[in-house]
Amino acid sequence: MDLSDKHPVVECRGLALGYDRSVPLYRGLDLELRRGEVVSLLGVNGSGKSTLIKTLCGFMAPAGGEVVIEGRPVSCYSRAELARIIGVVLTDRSVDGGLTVYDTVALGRYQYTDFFGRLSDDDRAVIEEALDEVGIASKRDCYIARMSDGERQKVFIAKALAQDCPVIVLDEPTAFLDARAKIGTMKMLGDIARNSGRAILLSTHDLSLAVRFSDRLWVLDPEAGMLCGSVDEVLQRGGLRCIVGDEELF
Amino acid sequence: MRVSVIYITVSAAIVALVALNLAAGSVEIPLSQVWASLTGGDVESRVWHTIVVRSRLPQALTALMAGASLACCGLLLQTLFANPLADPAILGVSSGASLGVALVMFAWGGAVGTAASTLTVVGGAFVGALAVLAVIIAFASTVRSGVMLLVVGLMVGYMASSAVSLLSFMGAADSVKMFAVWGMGDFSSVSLSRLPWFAVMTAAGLLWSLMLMKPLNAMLLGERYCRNLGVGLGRMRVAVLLLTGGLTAVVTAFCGPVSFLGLAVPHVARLATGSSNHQVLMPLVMMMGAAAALLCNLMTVTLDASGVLPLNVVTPLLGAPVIIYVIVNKRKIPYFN
Repeated sequence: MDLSDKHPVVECRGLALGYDRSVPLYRGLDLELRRGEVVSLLGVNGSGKSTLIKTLCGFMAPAGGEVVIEGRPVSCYSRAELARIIGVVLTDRSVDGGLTVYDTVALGRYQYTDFFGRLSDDDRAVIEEALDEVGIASKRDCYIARMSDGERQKVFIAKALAQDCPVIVLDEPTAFLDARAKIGTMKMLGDIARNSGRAILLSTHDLSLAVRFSDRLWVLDPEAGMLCGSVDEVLQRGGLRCIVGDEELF
Repeated sequence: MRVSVIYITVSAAIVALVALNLAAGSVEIPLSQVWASLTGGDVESRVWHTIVVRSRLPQALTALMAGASLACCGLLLQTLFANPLADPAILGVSSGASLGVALVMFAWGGAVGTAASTLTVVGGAFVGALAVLAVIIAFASTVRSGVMLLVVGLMVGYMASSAVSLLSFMGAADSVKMFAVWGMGDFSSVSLSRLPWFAVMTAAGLLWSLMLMKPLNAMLLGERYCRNLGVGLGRMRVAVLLLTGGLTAVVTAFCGPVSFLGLAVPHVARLATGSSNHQVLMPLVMMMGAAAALLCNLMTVTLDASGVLPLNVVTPLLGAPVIIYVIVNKRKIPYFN
């Protein structure tokens, strides 16, 4: 799969978001997520970040409009096909702590392994590459339960890399991390996007990190709607006021 | 390497326990005579041959298959509900089976218990277990949370137990006694002629379980990760419920409600291998379940020289310490965190 060009891999056309189709949170959203870029999704609590992420990942149906991935509406993809296109990284704490790092990353190969889940040589090579890319190869035999929050985050990013999909969506990947780990994670995501040509969308409350490490910002404002653009464009248009008020942060 | 050593050790233990189950009991039979009975060689006593082939062999094989089935059910449910303390009894299937048996026994009064009525008891357990299962599956399509579904199972189990208590309260003394004996558990009620039925049904369930190892591993990541990997979670949940309900119903119908094997054995396997990976665990859990059931059966026939102890007198002695150990040490056990 050629991941080097920067054409949109995910497009939303007239997207309406919300649990109630008759009263959606947002209507008529036109969005693009391009290969090789990091996009940060910003907004106050309850602004609909998680709803947008769930809709893009196919966890919930749009309240209107459509999500198009690689030229096909998301509803046309089977579960198995979608798993090869979007890899997610969540703040979920419900993962069984008895899984090792290697077992967890290996599950990223779910759609590529045989009926019993046996790994081929190719699968093993992809897993090794993913472990190396996030820098946790030396901890392959550690239990998830024994990992710090930052290390855990790396494990699930490696799992998403092992899924070998052009889009990675991360739900608040820097939550629970200390400052150093936050910066390390954002740098790593930038490197992954640029080196592999993957499109990366992440939701975050860390404005400074988003401004520093993102190529573009998507800002959800329940009153004014959604603002999308490069970091400079969003800042010039005062797009973060819906989050920080009238304080001058940048 | 470590895992393969465990597999070899458990395999050897199963062989040894089967041999001991065939040799030990109220009549001690030398291992050489057990071997001769099984292979058609010259046996010193015709009675020994009959005991080995007609009584102890079906009992040992029943214990082997029932233990494997119950332990497998425990592992399946613990993964489905992401709860290391889930087991077949939690879903209420055992209680449903008990209710079915109670209805049969109390409806027929003290007359139930003859050989002819045994099949009726088995049928009652089947119907009761499957009725509870149908309720659980109906809820599974609307209750999305695994934990909530577990609570639904508990409630249905309580209701079935309540009905059993009422029947016991109103029942004739003979029927109450007979029901109490069935409730203590026993691997000896599967005769040689019925053994193939029991073996085929449990083997089919075990085989199906082995075919689910891959999606079960994905379920260890939690619902949203599992869905992102492309697993049909709803279908998987129904499959596991059908499987555990069916296996539990078959074992309970033939052997009575057997406690603790489903709950404790998966923990022993996880502690031994240090893994939650079903490709490592599932076959081992089945083997350890078989070994544990064989050990329990051996204890029932050897601890009391005057007769046979009820199975559920013995299973808690082995199972409860395991559960207490994992609860006390849960901070040190990775899969509890």
